[in-house]
Amino acid sequence: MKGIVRTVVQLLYGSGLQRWLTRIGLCMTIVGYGALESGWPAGARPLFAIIGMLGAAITVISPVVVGAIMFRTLSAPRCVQLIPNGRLKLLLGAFSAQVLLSSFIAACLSVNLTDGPGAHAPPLGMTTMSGFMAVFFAYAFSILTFIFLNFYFMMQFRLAFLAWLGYLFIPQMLSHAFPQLDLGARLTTQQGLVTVFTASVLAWPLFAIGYIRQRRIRVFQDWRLIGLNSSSPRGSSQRRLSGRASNAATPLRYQQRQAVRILLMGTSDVRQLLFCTLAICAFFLTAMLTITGGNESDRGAFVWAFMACVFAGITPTFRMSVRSLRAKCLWLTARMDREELFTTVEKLGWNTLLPVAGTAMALATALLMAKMHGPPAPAQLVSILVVPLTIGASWIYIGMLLVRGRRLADTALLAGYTVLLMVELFSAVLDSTSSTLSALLGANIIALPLLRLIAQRRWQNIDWLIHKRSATQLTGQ
Amino acid sequence: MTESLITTRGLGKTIGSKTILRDVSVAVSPGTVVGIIGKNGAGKTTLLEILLGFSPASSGTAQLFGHDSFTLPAAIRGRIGFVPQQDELVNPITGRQQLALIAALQARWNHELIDRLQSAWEVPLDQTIQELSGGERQKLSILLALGHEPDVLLLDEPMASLDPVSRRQFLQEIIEIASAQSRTVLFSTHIISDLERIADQIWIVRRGTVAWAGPLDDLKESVVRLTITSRAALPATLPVTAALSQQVAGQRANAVVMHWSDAEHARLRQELDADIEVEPLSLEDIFVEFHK
Repeated sequence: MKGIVRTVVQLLYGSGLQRWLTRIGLCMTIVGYGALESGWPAGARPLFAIIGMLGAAITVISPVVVGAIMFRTLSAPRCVQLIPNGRLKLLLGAFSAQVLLSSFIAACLSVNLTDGPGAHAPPLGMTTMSGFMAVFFAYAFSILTFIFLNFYFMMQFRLAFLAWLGYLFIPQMLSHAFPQLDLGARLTTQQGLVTVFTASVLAWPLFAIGYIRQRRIRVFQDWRLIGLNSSSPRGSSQRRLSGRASNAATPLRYQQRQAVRILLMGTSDVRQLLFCTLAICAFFLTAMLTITGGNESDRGAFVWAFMACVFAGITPTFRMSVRSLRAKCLWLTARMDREELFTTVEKLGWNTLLPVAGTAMALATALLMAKMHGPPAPAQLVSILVVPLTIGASWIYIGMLLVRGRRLADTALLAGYTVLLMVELFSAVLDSTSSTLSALLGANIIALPLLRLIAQRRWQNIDWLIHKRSATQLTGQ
Repeated sequence: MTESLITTRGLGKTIGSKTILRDVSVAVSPGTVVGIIGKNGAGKTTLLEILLGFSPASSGTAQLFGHDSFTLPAAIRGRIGFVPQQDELVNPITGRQQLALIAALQARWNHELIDRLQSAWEVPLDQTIQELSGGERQKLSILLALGHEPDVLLLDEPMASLDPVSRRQFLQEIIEIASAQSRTVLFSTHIISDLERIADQIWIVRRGTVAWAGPLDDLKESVVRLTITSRAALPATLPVTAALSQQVAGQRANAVVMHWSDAEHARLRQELDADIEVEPLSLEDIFVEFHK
């Protein structure tokens, strides 16, 4: 029992960031839904409903995304096989974690439906709170099981996450090819829900048989969350590396700038990395717009383009914190002062952001022109042009200012910025031409010099004894 | 009098509510090989990292070449070589590429030395770094620190993953570097026999303080085990000034003491009216006694 509980805690509350997100999320959920339940005036109810929803999203996002990765990492060590029923305990822990998460999501959605603002159609004709909860639980559990098992199996391959695009395309292709099946509508019937839920529940014992009997569970190195990166790669990965190595056997010379860039990026394939990021951005953008089959509304087209631009801002800059860790070795080897180190890391951030953001802006604008029925509103066009650079720049400086260890103020800043990003996304979805989105983006732009100033000040006294992480993060690609 | 190359005065480091170092005052003359020993978490790495300017001191001062460590000028930093406890190599590239990268950053690079050491230590440079074993990674890290022929070499547990043959070769190299070119070497280790082999000076770090700093021979002469046999019952606490440990049982007592001298011997014998047997300790025993 202790092993199962520990697994649940590890999956839901394991890492430092996860703990902070959970605390912040739960506080927001309790405040938001607590206020809704206690009968505040009607004018304040939408605000509390949004706070509650955001809180719930912040609470569940980390275990949903990281849970399966953590689970596989916990399962991988050989010593797990020496513990009596070790794998079974881990599996039951993972299952319990999904049940807990589903219950939490179901409870939040039910409160939102019964006490939240606006009129909502009750799901599948349910009228009671327990009925809502049962329906939402079934949906949430099915979706979480699907995500968990997919992430678990995908962890063996570096680019496996691209398979998720398949899940976006396949339903579209099926509904285009077989419109008479009416898959979407079937899923929202009682029969459809029961089928999906039963399949999800049955998936666990089937998964358990394979999981418990598996001789060796491996974790692809880049996905490893805990433990040191000491084992050698095997199979195709090793062949690829050996091939690369034999090509590089000749004596080499680097320019100083080039050496600094490689040491900061942690890879010599900088162009390949940039190309991959660009290709993924372009692929996502095209995929999103293709999924809607050309029948999307003007607002739909804008939302897809906007999301692609957000993605283009985040992708090239989300590893800034690791780059700032790697800068430590340049203090001695490249004899760079802290001010120079700051400028170099910052410049590298911009150098990786600009091509990706530029491409995303160009593609988004072109596709918006092609897909919208009329010319896009100036506010929409400005948003598309501003978003990738603003978000990218924010991540650059937030990544660079998180150099004082895990502090409450820094976690609050990170959480606050994530909330701002989500509110920007919500605003884009709700009304892209409203002044709210422009105001939020304007506030974001105004905050940039402040973020840079804080980051720069912190780098003047950067303490590498505090700003340190595991060897895996420093040496991995 | 030789001017000290490394000096700390009242050095302290606190992170949050945890005190890692307190009141560390040590000095190192040029051409000295200093071995630092201490239990895990004693503060060895913190001390080295403060000396290198990776972290500011919370109190006191740390100086290298007469400059404050945290604001070391670039020219001074170019005269330092460092092997960290956790290597900072780039996994997806080859050892040869990693060497070329660091060589590109350094003002000078002794290719001959690196080629010689690489073939002597059998470092596979054409494999990607993630394919190397822990020992091979460590050897590569040492090559990276030696290539620019630094005047001061700081090594944080450099021999932890090396096999006995490589360790012996490495120690020989350190002796040559230190003696032939009068370089200063500071290294932390848990392998006591290595210290005895090459260190001129020993620092014993205990709970954030340097409990002993001085020549190895002085340490061995200074710390001894006493077996005391008295004609009367001995007091519960022996009247010795610097006891590391003591057990008293009636007329017999055992104690390990620091700063032992003939005068202290005579004083104690007279005071206790006892026979005192003095036994020298091995460095490993001394280390254990320091941490009891």
